Amino acid sequence: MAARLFFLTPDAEILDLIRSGDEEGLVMLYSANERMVRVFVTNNSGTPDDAEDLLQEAVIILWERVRAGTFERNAKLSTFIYATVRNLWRARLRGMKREVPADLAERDDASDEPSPADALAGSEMAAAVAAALDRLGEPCRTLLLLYYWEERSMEEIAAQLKFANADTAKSKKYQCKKALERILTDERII
Amino acid sequence: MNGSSKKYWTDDPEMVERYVLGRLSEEEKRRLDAEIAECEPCREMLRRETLLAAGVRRFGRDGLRSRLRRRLVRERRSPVRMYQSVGLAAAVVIIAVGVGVYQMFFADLTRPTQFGKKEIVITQGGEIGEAREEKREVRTPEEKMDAPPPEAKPAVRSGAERNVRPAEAAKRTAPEPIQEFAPAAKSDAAAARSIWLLGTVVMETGAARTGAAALSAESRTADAAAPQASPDRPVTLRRGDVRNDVALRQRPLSALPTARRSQMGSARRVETLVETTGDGGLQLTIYTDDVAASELDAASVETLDGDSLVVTTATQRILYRLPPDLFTAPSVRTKR
Repeated sequence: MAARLFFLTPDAEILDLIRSGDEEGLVMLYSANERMVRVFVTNNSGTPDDAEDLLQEAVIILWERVRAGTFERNAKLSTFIYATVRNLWRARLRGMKREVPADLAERDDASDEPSPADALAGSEMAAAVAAALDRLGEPCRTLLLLYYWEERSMEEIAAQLKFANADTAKSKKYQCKKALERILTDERII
Repeated sequence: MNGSSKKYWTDDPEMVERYVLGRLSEEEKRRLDAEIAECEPCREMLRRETLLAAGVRRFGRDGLRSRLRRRLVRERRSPVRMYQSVGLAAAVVIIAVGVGVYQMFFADLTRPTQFGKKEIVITQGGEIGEAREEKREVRTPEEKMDAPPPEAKPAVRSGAERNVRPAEAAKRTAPEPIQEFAPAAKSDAAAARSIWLLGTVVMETGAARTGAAALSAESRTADAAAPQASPDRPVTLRRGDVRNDVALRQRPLSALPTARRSQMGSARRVETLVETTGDGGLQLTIYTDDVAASELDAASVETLDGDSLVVTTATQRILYRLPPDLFTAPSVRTKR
């Protein structure tokens, strides 16, 4: 019987759950920040639905960073969530050409500039690629997800998908990308 | 790949992947940006790679968000959360009941027990009823039900029920079979100016008759709306060295408030409104059809054992037991 872990802080438990791929960590993170985000968004001309949407986006960003190993924990998780929600809400207000409150104008440090892929992820084209990926089948779908979304190394992917080694995984990744591109070309997406 | 011998960074797929995922250092990114500015195939390659990575990430996020939403919905509907909600509601109810019980049993007994705008009225006989009390209205239930006509002397001002808390009521002895009274307990001075006494007809024989004329049907029901004034000559009540003037009035039973009719119980009971006056006098308004106002001319009033009152008319002798603090309670006074 595995020993039960005790965490000094709820943040530590959440991070441990996320690192292990347990999505219960997301639920805990969401619940812990729900009220704070709702108050912030509704106080800044948003609705409770906006708050819910932004919080989901923020916890997913944290999930991605933790899973990718790029999350630097130098503050409480709630601080990261708050800063991320502020940045997301500011970007959304600007996208809707609505006035951004003065205290929201400054970008918070907790959320870095999005990568080129992230900047494009909200587009219709990206949605079409996602739909094509859904039709790709396994193990290519999981392999590409592990590589591009969770940003795992070839060694980790090989271990998880039980490939012989990293080179095998790398070769398989190349084949999967070509298969996806064929679908996209056939469907005139790219 | 680029159709020339020049080596571009975009010839390295891993470098391109690092670029689209935002993993290049600032220096690497500057060099790559400089290259793609002069290389159209490089830009196209980066565009395709970026779109592919964006689509995969979109797929991952959409799936994760969908699962998160499902979990949140389940969480909100989970029995644990429901039990928590029920527990919270139960706690609120328990606290509310606790506060109510405290107020009912332990709060200042000089204040009426109120639940919202309703006032619980507990008579000495243990009967419980509700009476509406309007905001800042000092009139008691009986005053509202039985307000005297404007032209009548405002002798009838309040009811007999006392606002008594159960704890206090429980301390009392068994209900007095002869009379029912309860000095008003409201701290508001205007709330207890008069009380209802339930008298008992203890004698209805010829011995009680003093030669007064038999009652006629007309005299019993005449002028039912207004109380019949007693003679100008007040009856004097002696209590030791103390004398109290007692003024007697009669009103027909039809004028008795509905709430009081249920208190009578039998024909041998007589509802009487007793009002003290500022100078220590009493005004008794007897609700009966068996005694005509004219009979009161010859009525006598006397005390019995200091705590009872006997009104003897031509036809009846009615016994009342007086509350001990009727003359001493500061809240009992007449409002004119």
